[in-house]
Amino acid sequence: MSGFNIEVDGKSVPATSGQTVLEAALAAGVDLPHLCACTREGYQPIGTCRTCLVEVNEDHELVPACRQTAAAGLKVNSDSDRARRTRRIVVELLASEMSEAAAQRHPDSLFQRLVQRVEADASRFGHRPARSEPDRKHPAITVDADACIRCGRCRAACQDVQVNGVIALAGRGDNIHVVFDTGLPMGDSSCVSCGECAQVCPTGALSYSVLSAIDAPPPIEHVGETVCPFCSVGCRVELHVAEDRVVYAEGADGPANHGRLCVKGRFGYLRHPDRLTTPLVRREDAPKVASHNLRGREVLALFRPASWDEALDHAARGFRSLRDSRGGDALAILGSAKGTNEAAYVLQKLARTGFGTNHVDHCTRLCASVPPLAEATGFSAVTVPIEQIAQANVALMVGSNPDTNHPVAASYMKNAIRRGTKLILIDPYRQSMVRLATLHLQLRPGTDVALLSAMTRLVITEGLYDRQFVNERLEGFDELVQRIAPYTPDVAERICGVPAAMIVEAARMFAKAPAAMTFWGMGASQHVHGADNIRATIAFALVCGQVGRPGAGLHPLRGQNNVQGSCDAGLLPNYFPGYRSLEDTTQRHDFSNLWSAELPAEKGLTVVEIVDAIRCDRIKGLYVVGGNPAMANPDLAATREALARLDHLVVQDIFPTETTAFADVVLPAAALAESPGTVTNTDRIIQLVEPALPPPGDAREDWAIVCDMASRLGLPWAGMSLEAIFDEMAAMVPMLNGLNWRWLKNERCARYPIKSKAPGHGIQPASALAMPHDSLFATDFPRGNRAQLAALDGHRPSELPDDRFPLTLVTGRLREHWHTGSMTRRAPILDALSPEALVHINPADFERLDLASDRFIRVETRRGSVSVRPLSDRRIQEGVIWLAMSFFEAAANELTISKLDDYTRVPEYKFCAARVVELYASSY
Amino acid sequence: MTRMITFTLNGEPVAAEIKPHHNLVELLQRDFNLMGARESCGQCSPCRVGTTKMARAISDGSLDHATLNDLSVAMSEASICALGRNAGKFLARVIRTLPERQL
Repeated sequence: MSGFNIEVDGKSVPATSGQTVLEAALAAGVDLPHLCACTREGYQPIGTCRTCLVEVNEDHELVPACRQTAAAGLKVNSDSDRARRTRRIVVELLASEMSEAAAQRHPDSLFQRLVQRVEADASRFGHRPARSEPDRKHPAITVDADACIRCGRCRAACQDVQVNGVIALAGRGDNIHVVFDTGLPMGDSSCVSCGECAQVCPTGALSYSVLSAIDAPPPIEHVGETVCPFCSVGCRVELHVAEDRVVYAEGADGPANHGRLCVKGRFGYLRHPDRLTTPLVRREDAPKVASHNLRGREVLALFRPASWDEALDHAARGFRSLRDSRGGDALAILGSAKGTNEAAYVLQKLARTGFGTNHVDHCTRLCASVPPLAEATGFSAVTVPIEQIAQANVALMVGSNPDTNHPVAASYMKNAIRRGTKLILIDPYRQSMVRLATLHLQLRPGTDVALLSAMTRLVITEGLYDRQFVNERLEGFDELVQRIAPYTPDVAERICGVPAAMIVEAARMFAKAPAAMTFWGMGASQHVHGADNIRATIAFALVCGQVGRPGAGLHPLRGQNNVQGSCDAGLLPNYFPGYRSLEDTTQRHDFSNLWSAELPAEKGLTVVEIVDAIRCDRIKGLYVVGGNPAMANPDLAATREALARLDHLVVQDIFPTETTAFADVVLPAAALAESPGTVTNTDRIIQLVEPALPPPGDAREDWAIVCDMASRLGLPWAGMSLEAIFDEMAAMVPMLNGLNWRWLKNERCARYPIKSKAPGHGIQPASALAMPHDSLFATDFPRGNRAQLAALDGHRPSELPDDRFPLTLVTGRLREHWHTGSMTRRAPILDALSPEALVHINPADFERLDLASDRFIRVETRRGSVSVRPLSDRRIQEGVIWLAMSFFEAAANELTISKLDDYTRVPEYKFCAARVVELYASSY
Repeated sequence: MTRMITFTLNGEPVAAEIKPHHNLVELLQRDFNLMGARESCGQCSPCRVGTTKMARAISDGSLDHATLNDLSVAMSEASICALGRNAGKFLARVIRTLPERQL
């Protein structure tokens, strides 16, 4: 990209080839008037509003600056009489498209500001007669059709950027108008409520309902930035704050999202009255009862408010006495991947040095998509970031539904697919990406290994695999060939229910692609054979040599905003920070020296194992920071029984959760938007966050609470600072070597692995394009020259359907809700969009069982039952039922089975046997 | 859903088969080879709004000459294609034949 200068209104403006005049001018701070042009990434110039017309080189015609390509020496004049007059009249014509009332409803819109700026007379050409009142049927976005000037920005937002395909311009001539789907009201359409259209609408025709609500919001006092807490993509969010509450949120230009957001990021702000604002101590007269299944504020009746000193003394005393009487093995910590790196680091340090235990784990255990990647390559993060799908010819996706769970990542995938990347989808469910997929291999649940083995076998027998890569970069190939020998396409067809011809076509397409990217998600990992599913996926990709080139690599789609960082920070029972070995005496010695403590060498227990250990009285004290095992763990009845048995439970969270019902002490924490620190996204980008608003009441930041707890356990942590914590962590975590807090404070973000220090400071900021490290392992792997094609454990689903429980239950997530719903169910807009758990059932089963969508049924498994309304859903296979996990009213994990994968220790959330029983007629 | 209509065209009685989505411009162009009648595609605002305003102003004199002049400038300078531009130029030529609006 070569640089040159152009002249805009007498000022010299730097430009690069490919840039438009408008882009160059705006980047240089010369604010040329414009309207329909959106200079954010992904928006093409529309060129229809005609407000950015300029004179170029004194040519005869006016041209739109948004479409004029910059070229060296170009002279642009936006301020000539001719340009100004034309622009003013064009704006006056646009203003006549609004009704007078609608224009008055949106006095601060971008368009009205343009009217003033060009000194247009908005009523010169009259106004359209008022035709409709604003439509407030959608819970988050108000449609004021009378305010629309038909610029097409919302269409571009919905079709080109987010690729949701809901908004179009229909009609012709002067009758052109915005429609949703086939002309439905927005609230009835297939809109996914990402809000991109409202963010870019210049007139207020599409706007956040909160801004036009009857009880007008207070004026915005300040705008702060944070990272969205809801998934691993790491979108930066701009929070508009008044009276210490978020009024509305917009996408900020972050390294991962470039202004885009999804429904959760935009509407999931947490200002619910349930927020914990003061420390709580359990009342003497409130016993812990396993059958207690309390929700929300009900829990608070079990507690009395306390000062921080009293609560922390009480919390620490319980842990200290258990440690002194029974040893560290009786204590455990469950952290969270929703906090900062610093909180995760001090929490694991507290476990190892203060509690004297390695029983420290967190919810990443429950997505478990990375350990098989580490086993194969020696690296515990994605080899290639999401955005490189733009350079992939083919993308293989196994058991992931990014449109629902990583919507902003999905938008980049859909951008690529529209530019020609072919998508091969392996999923039992006809999810929304199917309509964009080249091939959808709709296998029976739990048969991934057979399908992927058949694909691997085919590329080997047909000689399509990468022979050189296999010879030079892989080990275990002969064993692999032996293992997959039985899986011909026909055999796989019988096992998986996928036509053999389609299996063949998919395998050939992937193997022949110059660059193919491989994604997998929890549909692959959350099985007792989850590691095997992923091993089989990785083996297929590696045999085809699809790693280490632009657009070729392995990408597990992960769950939480700091899932990468909290693992890097060592919040794991089997690793020190930076995945350094517990057993290795040198490594242990390093940490022992650094922390001046004797460190336990034995691997600790994982999330579900900790609960099992509580049930058999091995673990007696538990510190839960930001987790909710009473809703997230499998087999909730057994989990509650365990939690009620604990001698001492301390829960630290932002909301009262189902788990707090069993707590002795509850500590109110600050949310991510209220905390400073760093978080690391799935693409290995570490981002700095600063508080966008203060925590409510007496709530405090996680890391500070943990440090105070540590001090009360006799550790000298009183003077800890975030800077010191980060720098200690960066020194011990190989991936972060070379980073420090001061640098990050300036640069805001970086992608690791950090480029080796060049003269000066050679740290590569994440925003820099085409980093050499983008697609890792072009020449070797962290574990050595060769990646390992790991042997499989060979498990089958642990509970197959039978006569008594004839259906297969699969659990999952909805777009609007996150995990156990403790946050998103308390975001009013998200709960309004998706208020109720529904069990999805294939239409044939629905009819056979004589169900009706207004009659509740009971879904039963050997572990428990929930009452829920059924939904006939043709996307579900016959014999399968599907339930989201986020609703406490019908908690899917009452039903799930507590069997674990041997290697990743993830429970089998995606497969158990179930039946449905008619319950009673609903009252409506 | 084809139906037959009859109407008077340039003084002559005529008949045509139409479908519900056909409009008069299409009918004149396709069935009677009269290419003078055009329809704005609606993409850019000077033409989309301008042609409508202009048609009304010519028939009912609802805009004064200064405003009509401005309208013709915006249409002829700012429209994307020749349809709107030529309509604007046409307007510039007919303005003086129109009666000045009485305020």
